[in-house]
Amino acid sequence: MSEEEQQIPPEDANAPINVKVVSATGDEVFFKIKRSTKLSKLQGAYANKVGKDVNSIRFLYDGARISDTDTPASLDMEDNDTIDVMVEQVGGCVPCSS
Amino acid sequence: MSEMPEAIIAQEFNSLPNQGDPQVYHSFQLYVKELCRIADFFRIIEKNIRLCITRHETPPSDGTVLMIVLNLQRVWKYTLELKANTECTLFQTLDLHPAGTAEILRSIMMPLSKTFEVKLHHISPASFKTLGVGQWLDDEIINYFVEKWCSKSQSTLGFNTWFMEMLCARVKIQNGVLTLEDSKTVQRWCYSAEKSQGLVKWDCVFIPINEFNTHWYLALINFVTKRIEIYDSLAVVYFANRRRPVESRKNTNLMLVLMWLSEVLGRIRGEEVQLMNDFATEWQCDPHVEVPFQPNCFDCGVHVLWHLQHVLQFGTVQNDCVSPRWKFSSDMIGKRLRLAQEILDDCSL
Repeated sequence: MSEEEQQIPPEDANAPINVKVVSATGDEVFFKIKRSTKLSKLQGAYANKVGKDVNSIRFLYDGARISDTDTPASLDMEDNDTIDVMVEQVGGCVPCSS
Repeated sequence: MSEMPEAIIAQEFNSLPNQGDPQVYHSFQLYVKELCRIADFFRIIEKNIRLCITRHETPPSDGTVLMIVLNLQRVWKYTLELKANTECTLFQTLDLHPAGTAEILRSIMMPLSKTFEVKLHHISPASFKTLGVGQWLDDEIINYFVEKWCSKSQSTLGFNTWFMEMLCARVKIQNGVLTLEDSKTVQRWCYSAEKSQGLVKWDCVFIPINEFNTHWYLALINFVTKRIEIYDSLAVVYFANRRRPVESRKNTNLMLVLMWLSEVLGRIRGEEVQLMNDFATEWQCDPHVEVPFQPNCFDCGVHVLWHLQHVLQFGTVQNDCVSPRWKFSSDMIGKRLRLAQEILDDCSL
């Protein structure tokens, strides 16, 4: 058993996985990314693709913020997993008309 | 040593003048930090002495050691009391002098670049500046405090500001229907929040809500009192809602989502919560709890954080709270300064 388990990682470690980035409006963008690649790279690519400043969008995996040093491996991501992308939020009040 | 140990501390720390002035503010800050340091110091000495006593087979019989320990305890308690009182004086002063407080807030926000070289979670200088005079708070600030304060709470789980946005977006996309898939998503977000806040069990769930990127308010689900409440610091919304029939009230649809959510979260807690199709349910929903209202058009984010302070301290929002530490003020500028100071203090660690 333990020998088998040990044999899997070297093959899997750098195999690319498919990641789906989904916005709150339901728009999906697909990426193929190596498990050891930093997700900050994907964040930059996504921001570029949708034409947004990367600092104005937030990437979440299972609701937890993805930080610049995270990789699919460090987050234990699996093939076809989803990353939610949310837009920066601010608030002070609503217009009185509502 | 026989004179009142409190007097010795009191002698060293004369009371400070009550003014909203940066110089005085910084003296207060130093004073409070020094009191913290001294309190810790007394605590450590006392603990060490206690440890020594347990290791000695025959402790001195004349009671000197005991008296020292008791005195150390007294001084420790007194130092903490003095620290709390000093803070209260400061907080009261800040609330009483909004113009002076605004000046202090501006002054502590100036030399930013160095402090933020060490990035605190996701708070960038731009996010930090949303705590400034008259600014709209951003998601990073709200999420930072929700996570930090709930981590210390033992019983209140805080969701981040994107949680409700995600859920409401699903409702919209799916034409008002939430599915089993959505409850699995909630479960995953819930586990992430539990993990980041180090909570195994919780009785209360705090959910900050952003509306159209213009307004902050919140929902609270309490599994002990069996209540779902929505707190909104905008008086207009509160009064308009009370007048309308239920079906056209602002938070009716949101309340339906919260009811569904309470059932899902109930299952995660291992209890059966039946709300949606049970007319005899014990649960009560209040879509517009009366809370202190914001008299301006920029403080709702600060109100949301202050609601959380009250929830963690008292279990609910206390409108008539008089303690300078907790009470709401018409202008939340003093609270903005305290929040900004808390971030700066956390940064320097």
